Order: sequence, then C-alpha cells, then structure tokens
Amino acid sequence: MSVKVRIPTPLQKMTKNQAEVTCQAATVTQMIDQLEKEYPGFKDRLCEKDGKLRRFVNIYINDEDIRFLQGEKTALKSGDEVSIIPAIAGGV
Amino acid sequence: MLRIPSQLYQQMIDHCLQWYPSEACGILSGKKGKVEKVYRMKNADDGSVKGSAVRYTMDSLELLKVTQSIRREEKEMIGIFHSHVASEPYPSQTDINLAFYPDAVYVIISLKDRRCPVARGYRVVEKEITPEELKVDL
Repeated sequence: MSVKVRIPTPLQKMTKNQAEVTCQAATVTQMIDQLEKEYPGFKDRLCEKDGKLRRFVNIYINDEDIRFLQGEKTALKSGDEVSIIPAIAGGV
Repeated sequence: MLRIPSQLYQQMIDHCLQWYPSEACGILSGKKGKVEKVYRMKNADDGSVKGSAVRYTMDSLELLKVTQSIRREEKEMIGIFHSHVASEPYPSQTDINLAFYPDAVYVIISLKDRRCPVARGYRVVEKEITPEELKVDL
C-alpha cells in the first residue's frame, strides 16, 4: 500500500526537510519501521523502547486518530494520508 | 523576534481572559516571524469542557485541523501560546518537558494581574530556554 505521510516540522530535519514522504506499508507499525529504515532514528522519536507510540505523539489516518482505531496495528489502504502530530501541552 | 499586529495580540489576550480561571492555549500562524492569524484552541486537558488551571493540552483533532489549515494557507506554525493564570510568564518544568516544537516561539501570557496581562516569548530547544522578543506592531 502506498500511503502519504505528513511529517511535522520538528521531525523534518530527519526527512531531509521533506514535509511529506510516501511509504509502502500495510499497517502503522510497518509504516514506522519503513520510515526508520529510510531515516534512522525516526522510530525513537515516535515510540517508546517497547515499540508503543509515545503518549505525546498523535497519528492520524486521514482524520481518524489511530488510538480510536486499532492503534499501531491499524491497517493502511493505498492513498491514505497519515499525519504525525506531536501534542502541544504544558502547565505550571 | 516574533512580530504580532496589535489586533491579533489583543485576540490572544482576550482568549486567555475568556478561559480564566483555566489555562488557555492557541497557535499563531504566519511567515518570517510575523503573526498573521491567531487560532484560539480548546484546553482539552482531562477531557473537561473548561480545561484546567494548572495544565493545558490542545485538543488533538482540533490541532490536526489547524495544522491542515496552516498548510493549505502555505503558512507556518510560528508561535504557540498559553496562559499562566497565577504565575509569572516563564516556562514551567512541564512546559519545558513538553516543548516538542523547537521552531516555534512559545508565548506565555501571565494573568497574575488580570488588569495587566504580561506576554513573553521563548524558544525551547532540547530543554534549553532562550528569551525571544515579542514586538507588538501598532
């Protein structure tokens, strides 16, 4: 499956300043592994050591948060647009 | 330096006052360090409707939509703002730990004195804080 992945500004240094990359993957896990292959260190920015998505990273397939789908196991279809968006949060 | 037209500066302050006593948050889009639009965001912390006085988390779906809008308009997310309702306009340890956007200026608005809100800007890069001048254009 060929999917389009939107890369957030803070991670674009890793993707040679590309805001959008294409990826061949059948699931989100495969997509992350594929991105890691192309851009070493990428997975670390998205996932904890056990491979689970970091709490403050959101991944959307089109407009659906994967946390409300099947998480990292969510299947991808050709033409899907995946957005990676680090959370914006803070507090006193 | 982050330049912000006075009308947009006022929108940002108004949003913070409207959310008081909860923390408010929002995004500043523009180009080349000049703010062109203020996105008033929900503080979705804890999933409550009116947010929290000590934490803020932007609603993630709203954040996706704003990101898409900024891209469509060929602008950049140049600033991220939030209010401190009872403390100084300086990044807290939580703000620093959760600063994932090194290219944006983090603007903090203190409402310690609500009659006189104070806004300050910072870059937060790998947990290092550098003050960034905010210039309000009249």
